[in-house]
Amino acid sequence: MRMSAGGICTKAEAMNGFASRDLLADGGAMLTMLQLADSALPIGRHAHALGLERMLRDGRVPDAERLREVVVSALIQGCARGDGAAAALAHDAQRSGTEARLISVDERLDCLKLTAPAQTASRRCGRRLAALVPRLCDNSLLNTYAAAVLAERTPGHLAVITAATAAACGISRRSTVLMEVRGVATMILSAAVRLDVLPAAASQAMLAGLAPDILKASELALSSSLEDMDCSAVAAIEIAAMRHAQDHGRLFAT
Amino acid sequence: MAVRIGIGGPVGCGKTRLVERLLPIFQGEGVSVAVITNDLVTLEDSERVRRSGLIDPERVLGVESGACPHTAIREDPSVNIEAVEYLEARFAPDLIMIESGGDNLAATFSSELVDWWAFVIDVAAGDDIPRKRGLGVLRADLLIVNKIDLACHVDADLDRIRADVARARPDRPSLFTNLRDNDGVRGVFDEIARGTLFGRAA
Ligand SMILES: Nc1nc2c(ncn2[C@@H]2O[C@H](COP(=O)(O)OP(=O)(O)OP(=O)(O)O)[C@@H](O)[C@H]2O)c(=O)[nH]1
Ligand SMILES: [Mg+2]
Repeated sequence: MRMSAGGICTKAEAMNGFASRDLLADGGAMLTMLQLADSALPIGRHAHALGLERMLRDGRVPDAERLREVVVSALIQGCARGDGAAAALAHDAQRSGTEARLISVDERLDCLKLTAPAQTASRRCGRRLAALVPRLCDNSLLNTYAAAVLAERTPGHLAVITAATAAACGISRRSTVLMEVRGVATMILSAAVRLDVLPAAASQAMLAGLAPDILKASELALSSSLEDMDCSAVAAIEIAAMRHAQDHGRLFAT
Repeated sequence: MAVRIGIGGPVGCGKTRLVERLLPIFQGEGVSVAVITNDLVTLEDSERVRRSGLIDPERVLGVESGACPHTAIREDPSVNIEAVEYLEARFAPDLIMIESGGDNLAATFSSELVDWWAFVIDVAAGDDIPRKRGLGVLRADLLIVNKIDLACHVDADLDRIRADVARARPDRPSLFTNLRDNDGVRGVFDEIARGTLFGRAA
């Protein structure tokens, strides 16, 4: 259902909105975006919890309110000038048609991943998406870049290859960044559900309530230049991730 | 490329013990092997196999499944595929055994991950398991009914299990084992050889 200015639109408006012309114009891009954002995309995202498990063990996430704070800081202090900005810049790079620009965004992001676990998780998921790219999208620059990732000629961070794929499939820069930033929230929330921090329905309510924060982080990301990109300032999460890497009995890879 | 075989089954059914029992047989047959274990508590199973003295510890990799054991072998096997590719590049083994995390009766392996897979059940966990028609029991290339030595202690009726298994898997092989006393393992090796090694020898 589409939203009109006044709220949910009438049935007649909805019918007009779904005229086949509209569908042909951006339906394909929309389908790709849904696919890239879907948890069914087999790139091993389920194996990562961004340090949440360790924070939980240390008693740092006692309730839903604290979890919400963790997500918000991961969005604003962590993702916006990191993966989010990288997604925006990688989208530009893919559109500009130069592999070198994609690689420079990727390398910049690589320097900003402070901890080995954060760096490894992002690279590994990125590599797995790169392996999938030829089956998703027929674009020569994208395929060249994916091959460079697989050949380890570039670090291959997930945000960069995702945004390049999105751009190649006609997804707008804004949508690409929104998808990237939202992905951080859903990754933490889905891990939280599996770790029994909060129930599934409550996590969806929390995700809906996080919309303003997701939008705010996306705005920051969209206005960032390569020089503005910055490492995560979410010390608690980064430290937890580092300590997690040394844990013996753990559920998540990172 | 290595032959990839999966070993699945509920928690504690004897998957790791089966790996440990098969390793000397593969060695005796000149089949070079590598092992991947999937676990919620990864270091547990991979460390156990590494320390077993039955295999070069470097050939054993532990994969963490993020509390989703079935996801890591079915919906999203990418992490396991990556582990397979690493082992292939490093050791070029003839065969890779992939032990899944202990899971429920519905767990199955993706054909994108393995060429052949066995599902292990434990008679002491209930002699009605074959009748529950879990996908693992129905679809596995080989069903292994393990811990038959315990049947008498838990009043499990082996004849009934045999009949139920035959009904659940009319055209697929099943074997009964006692891995504690190394009973029936040769038959498992023969099934693996029949199902994978010979078929791919060319
Ligand atoms: N009596 C008896 N014990 C067995 C047999 N097979 C395995 N066990 C024991 O059962 C226990 C569990 O065996 P594992 O091989 O660790 O089981 P698993 O399926 O790998 O367990 P998870 O990886 O935790 O799911 C161990 O104590 C084994 O020694 C058997 O045939 N008979
Ligand atoms: Mg085991």
